[in-house]
Amino acid sequence: MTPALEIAAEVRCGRRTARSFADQAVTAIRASNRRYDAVTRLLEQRAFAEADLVDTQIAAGRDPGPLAGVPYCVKDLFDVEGLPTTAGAALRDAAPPACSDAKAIRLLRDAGAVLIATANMDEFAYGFATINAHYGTTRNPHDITRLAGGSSGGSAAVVAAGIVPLSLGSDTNGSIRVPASLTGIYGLKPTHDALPMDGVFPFVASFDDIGPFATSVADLRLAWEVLRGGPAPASGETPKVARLGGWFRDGVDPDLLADIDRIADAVGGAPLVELPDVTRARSAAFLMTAAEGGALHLPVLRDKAMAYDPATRDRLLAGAMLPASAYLRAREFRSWFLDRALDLFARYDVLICPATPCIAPTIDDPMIEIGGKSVPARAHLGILTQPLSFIGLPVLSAPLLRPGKMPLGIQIVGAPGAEHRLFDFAARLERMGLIGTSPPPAHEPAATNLQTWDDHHDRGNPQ
Amino acid sequence: MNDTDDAPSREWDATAIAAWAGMVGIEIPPACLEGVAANLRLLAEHSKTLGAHPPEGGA
Repeated sequence: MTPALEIAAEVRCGRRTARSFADQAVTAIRASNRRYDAVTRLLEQRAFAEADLVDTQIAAGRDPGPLAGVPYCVKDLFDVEGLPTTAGAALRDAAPPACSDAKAIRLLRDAGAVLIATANMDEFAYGFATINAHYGTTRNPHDITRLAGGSSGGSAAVVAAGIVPLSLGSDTNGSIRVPASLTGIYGLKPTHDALPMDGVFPFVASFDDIGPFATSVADLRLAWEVLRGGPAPASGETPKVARLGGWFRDGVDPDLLADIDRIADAVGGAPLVELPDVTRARSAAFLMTAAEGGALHLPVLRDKAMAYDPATRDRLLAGAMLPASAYLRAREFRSWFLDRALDLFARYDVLICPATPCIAPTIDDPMIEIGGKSVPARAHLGILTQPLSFIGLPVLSAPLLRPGKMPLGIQIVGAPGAEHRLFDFAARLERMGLIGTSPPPAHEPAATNLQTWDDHHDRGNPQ
Repeated sequence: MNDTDDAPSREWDATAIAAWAGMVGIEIPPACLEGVAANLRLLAEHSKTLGAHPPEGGA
């Protein structure tokens, strides 16, 4: 798929219609969804109506906005008017339809973007794998025997596969950064609470954020600016960069560490620094997630526990039973840990570290090794992302250029509110040829059985 | 959430889980006992790792 900026330019100057791009995306989903299981609901009728509106505005000489005609998907936890917001859960299939779109969708629509589909996720966003007992496991476009990561795995896969140039996900402990890393695209987890959460199904209010996926820094920045409501200022400075060591390098793929070290050399040096007590930060994030997620779901769990995906249910039940004192200790620790991070940002503008410790695990054996122990990928792929979202820092996940290898990404981390520095630094690395997306291997379109596809995947489609 | 704090030291058998769950007003379906016990053990490990605040040498 053409990058978002190019699509908008072509639509705005009348060279191509928004309808043609929407049609291209719809066709691509129909041809590929059996392969990837990335989409849960195709919104064809709505997409064509939105695209036609953009084309009407162009014909009337009006500017539809900076995302004119850009097709995109949203994780299945954003409210879409007229549809139940499933949050990836079968038990919400019959929930009352949303009365209006989530605010983020309204902002993108007002900028001319065209919503094409909702995307697969771990049930209630509780996982790093997009293994969904109801909607299926989203497969990695670079190797369909491997996971796409999660919980925003569907949103990442549709961009990595070239179906749409933009999508929206959410990130509580790494749910944007992990799938961005494993599928080889860009993703932004903004400063906590920087983007509107209205109409987004919650998970852990202390950490939940939404953010975009894209195939270039420029597209990612454009989506951020539309969602934020204004242009990100250029920092106009050479940032002081450091590499995060310790926890963030222990047990990490040596190739990935070598790439990070090469980046450090290329930007004139980036010393290794350490955040103290990261092990405890990760545990604190784990506890707060369990406690807040469990508390949120407790009323439903009392009546309908068996309607949950078993892997989600047992985690939420245990979380609901967590002692309050453990939660309070975790919150108290968070303030201390944030102060330690701010100490680092007094000396450095940008910190870099891996986004995931390894390439995407296989679907047949979704385990990863941590500290010599084999542990489930679903709960542990975010080991390097979790300590950073724990304190609400903005993080841009960027794909390393690894021709012929499975994708891996780095985290570019800034102080709260410093997204502009992350964009500027990532754009510089992109220009230097150190990061960037690579297309997944070509494949023959599947012989789609649309009847079967509709029966199993298209429930709630307003067509 | 429970308001007592001996979870990390407990042995999570069916009886203990049922009693503990009762404190937050939920009955654990038998099919979930094993999975819930495993997750409680994991949370107990994380609670132990977190330890008491403030960290040594911190704040």
